[in-house]
Amino acid sequence: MDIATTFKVMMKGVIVSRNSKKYGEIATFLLNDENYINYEALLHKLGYELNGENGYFFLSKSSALATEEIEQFVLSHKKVFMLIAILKQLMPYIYANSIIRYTEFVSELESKKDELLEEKWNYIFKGQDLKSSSEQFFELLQKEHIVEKVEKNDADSYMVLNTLDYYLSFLENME
Amino acid sequence: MTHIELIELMYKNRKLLDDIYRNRENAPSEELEKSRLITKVGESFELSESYRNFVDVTLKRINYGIVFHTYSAELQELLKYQTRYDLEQKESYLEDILELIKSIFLKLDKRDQEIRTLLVKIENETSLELDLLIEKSMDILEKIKEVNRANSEVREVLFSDKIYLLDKSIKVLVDEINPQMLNFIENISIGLDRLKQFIARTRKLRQQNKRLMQLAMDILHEQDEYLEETLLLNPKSYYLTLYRSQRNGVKTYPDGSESSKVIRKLNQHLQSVTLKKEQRQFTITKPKEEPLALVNMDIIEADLNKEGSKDIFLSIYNHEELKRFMQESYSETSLKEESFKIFLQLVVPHNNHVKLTKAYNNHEVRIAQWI
Repeated sequence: MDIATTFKVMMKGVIVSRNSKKYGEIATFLLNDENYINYEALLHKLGYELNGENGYFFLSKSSALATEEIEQFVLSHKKVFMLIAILKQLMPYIYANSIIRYTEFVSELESKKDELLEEKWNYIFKGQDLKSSSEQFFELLQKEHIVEKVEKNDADSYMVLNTLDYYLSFLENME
Repeated sequence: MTHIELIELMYKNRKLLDDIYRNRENAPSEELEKSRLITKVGESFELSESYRNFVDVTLKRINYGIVFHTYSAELQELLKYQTRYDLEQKESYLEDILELIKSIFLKLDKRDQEIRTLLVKIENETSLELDLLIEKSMDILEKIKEVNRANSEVREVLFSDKIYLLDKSIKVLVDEINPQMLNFIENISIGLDRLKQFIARTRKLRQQNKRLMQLAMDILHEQDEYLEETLLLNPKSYYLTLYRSQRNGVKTYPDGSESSKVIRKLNQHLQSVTLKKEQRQFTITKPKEEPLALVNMDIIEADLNKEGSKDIFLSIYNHEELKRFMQESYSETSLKEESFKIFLQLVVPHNNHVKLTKAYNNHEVRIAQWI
């Protein structure tokens, strides 16, 4: 692992989690102080900040946000919080490193759905019914690096990544 | 009934027993009804407490409602036998004491198993509401604390002079079981810590979930200004990417102030750079010095005046002055060409001494005479 590979991945907007199969190696690389400092110095030159704690790392912009960015910045956080809120309403026990099953999620969705859940669902899927969009829900979770397939060919088991802690610690800091 | 007969009875009635275990409708056989494996509760049947305990412990299943008894009854019994032995010195009391110690030890062992199973069960619980889970965990914590106190009490009694020094056989047994008793105490202390941490984690989880649900509600009702405020207070610390995909990189839009900053920086750099004019490289070569050779026309003309000529061209061609010139000159022209140039200079301007004939010499030049 090296800084070039790390940047190549992170510039794609990936939050790298230590417990990720795909990007775990990068997060481990950045846990080394020397690597972290060198990478951070390089990023500063390029106008980015390196952020990370509790086994996740991500980039942010050094300078002030442009008007177009602010809107997107806030909206994307709201969307992910809504995704996690749905997941937690159905599976309140999950935390980083939990293994969740798609089939279990669907059955919980069926048994626990209520008006509040449907409202949240509607915020993301605008009028689509729960059943047809539940696969999409998992795709979004993967896209936001909240979960990752445990095995490439296993469409049922997903690992909850350390990214979840980013949003949860954000939630705590907000108080 | 022998032990083997009991096993056979259980095997014979295995389906019925399993139905009762799973709380299914059942109509037990008369044989089973008579056994102590099941008990009638109202109209239905339940597994007897001893059998259910056996199943739960063996299969490592446990109810949250388990009651951990203390050992005070057994310890009182122990002290009763000890007093009697002191008074009467009967061997049978000693045997009773040894049996009682073994029985207490087996109970300690069972508690140890039960507590560990209970902890694993509660830590992996996902079917209860978090509030209920915390309540149950707190309950279990209290129970384990009691067991912890009871275990210490047992050790105190067993190592008291009254019991420990009563007889050598007791001392040997207590010494033998002591390492395991210490192990139980340690396990309980580890278990207590684990449970406390679990409760703290679960409480945190419950709090996070509550906050998350509140935030989701606020977003839905557009009362989420505080989220935006937190994000914009220090955007450097938060995750920003406009396009999250494998193909697109982190993209950001520059705003007006950024553009002017870039231009200012560029200007600074451009001003500080001075470009040296590159000097043209060329080589100076000294022109070749060529001796200037000239034909002295006067000499030729003087000789012609003096001696006259029947063929001016031939006279020039053979003249010493021309031969000298050809030797000194670097010109590549031939003697004939040089001679012809001089011939023309003498013949073309009108000259009374020159008489052109119509004949041509062997150089194919018109013959002119100097008269």
